[in-house]
Amino acid sequence: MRGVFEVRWHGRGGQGLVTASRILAVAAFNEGFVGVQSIPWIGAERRGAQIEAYNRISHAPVLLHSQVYEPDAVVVVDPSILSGNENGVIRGLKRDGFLVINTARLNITPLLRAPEGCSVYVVDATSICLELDLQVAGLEVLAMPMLGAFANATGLVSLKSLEKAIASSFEAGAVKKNIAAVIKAYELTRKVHLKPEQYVPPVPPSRPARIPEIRHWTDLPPVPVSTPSKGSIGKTGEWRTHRPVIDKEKCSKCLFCWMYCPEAAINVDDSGFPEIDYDYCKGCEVCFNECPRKAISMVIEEK
Amino acid sequence: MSARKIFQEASEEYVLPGNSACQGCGSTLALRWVLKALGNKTVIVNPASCGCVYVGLYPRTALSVPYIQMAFAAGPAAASGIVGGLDVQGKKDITVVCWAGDGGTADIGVSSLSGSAERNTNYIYFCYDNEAYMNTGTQRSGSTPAGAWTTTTPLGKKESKKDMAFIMAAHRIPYVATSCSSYPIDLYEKTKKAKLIGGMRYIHILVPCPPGWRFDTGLTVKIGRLAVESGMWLLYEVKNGIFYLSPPSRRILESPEKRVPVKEYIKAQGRFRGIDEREIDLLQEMIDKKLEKAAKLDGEPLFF
Repeated sequence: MRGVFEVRWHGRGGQGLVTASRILAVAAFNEGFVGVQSIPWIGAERRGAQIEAYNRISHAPVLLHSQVYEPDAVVVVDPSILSGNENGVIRGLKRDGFLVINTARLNITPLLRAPEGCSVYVVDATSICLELDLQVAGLEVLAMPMLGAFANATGLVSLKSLEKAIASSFEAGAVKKNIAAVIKAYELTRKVHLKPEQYVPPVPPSRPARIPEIRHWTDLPPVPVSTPSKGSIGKTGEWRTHRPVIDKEKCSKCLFCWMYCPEAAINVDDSGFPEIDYDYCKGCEVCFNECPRKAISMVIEEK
Repeated sequence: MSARKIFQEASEEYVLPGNSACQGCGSTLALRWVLKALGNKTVIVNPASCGCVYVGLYPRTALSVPYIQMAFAAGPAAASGIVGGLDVQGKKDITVVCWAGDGGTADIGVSSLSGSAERNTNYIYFCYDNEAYMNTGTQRSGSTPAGAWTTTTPLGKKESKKDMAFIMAAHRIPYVATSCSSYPIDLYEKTKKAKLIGGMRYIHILVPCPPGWRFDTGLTVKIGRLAVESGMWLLYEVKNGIFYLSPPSRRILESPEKRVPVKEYIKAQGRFRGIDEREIDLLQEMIDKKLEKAAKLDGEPLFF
């Protein structure tokens, strides 16, 4: 490998992207690379929000410290961010690059777009996490198995250096589970060939917008006032891994679910039954736990 | 009051779904019920906190009442200004609210808060207490309880929690109350009561935080309930200097079989994993003493 190999991670807050990107940097260092970087990009730290993380890996020290705009590899940790954003994840991805995707819970292959000449690898990281119970505070740490998938796809780091990096990053109890997830994902990762129409010309990278020069106060934009709206950051229903389903036979219309819903995503219909707004329900399971008659069940989300 | 009954009078939602709060956020649940009690004639001032994030980015907002984001230390000062401005315009029916986190209340905002309390400015201050700086990724605040893990206290905090509600009561303001997001009806009724009183009012709400306290998102309500049922968190009001226990806390004093050992509250959360059995026993002892004292104080003046 010549020059700098750049990686961009896509996922959501709480899925371990920042940790995985750090572990990848350590593993690459263990592998013998001298210039390694791990860069988180998060804004306000919050679970469920779309976040990115970056890596730079090189045989010589890397002096560039910016975000990665033209990656050699893109790792998509959470498949739900692909819908409506197919070009967003491959922006700037190089022609001979790697696209590594978690294809859990929904058949996203038709949604995929890849630049011509790019190799696409898939693995079901969500199932691996569920099977190994790799969770932190109720959220699957999807980025850990994706490390194994990345290693398989690019061949840049070996499983051995990943294991060493993981062992130095967690407490003894967590090490075993994380290593098992990485190895399992390494074994299950496979290369796929997309349909010809899914290969698109490379998408140009997005660069930060230039701030316009302001010479006089009359050039200033009007006072920004936000308008109240549902879905102020989009359809938060995409965050769910499980959906609550109300059994109307058992429901006594006590409305505890409505009262305790942190999202205000439970409405009450004309006959007094609670009704869940699946566009915005984040799947936190509070209603499931609070229902006195156990009329709410959590069903795994399959789209 | 039952949930079904309360739905008749408070079905309107002012916190709209699809906001950017975490799954199982206790703070949005509390804000939902505060706004249900206050209605749409409300202006909110929000110093830097999680609130500034989950309300959303320009050009959209998840709140359907006027809302101003303010610098960390200046929430009460901005609220005082708004109160003054509304006063000059002769608008008497608008409630001004400051909605701040525990860092903005107990650490950074405490001086302007104390100033506005001393002036008895006509507004309601809500502190939603998730016991650390959660918006920036769990750093210790003055309100973090002893023993809790945060990123800046990796071995557990050594110092104990600052009692903001008592500090505010010592300002001799007309109304001070504590509540918890797991008791929406208690919070709703206290807010309604506060709305009718003039002068400075202070309500301190304990809100469990799944990512910061390290528990499953679905347990938000259960953990808050454990905090109250174990006596770790007391629900009370201080009206004109007289201390009154609220029904959920009085219940555990009157019928001890309804009390939960504090161990259950501690063990349910990952942030207390560094606490050993001996420390739990000490904590239980402290809580027993606290409850004994609270039972004696009920209905008595808090200060001389």
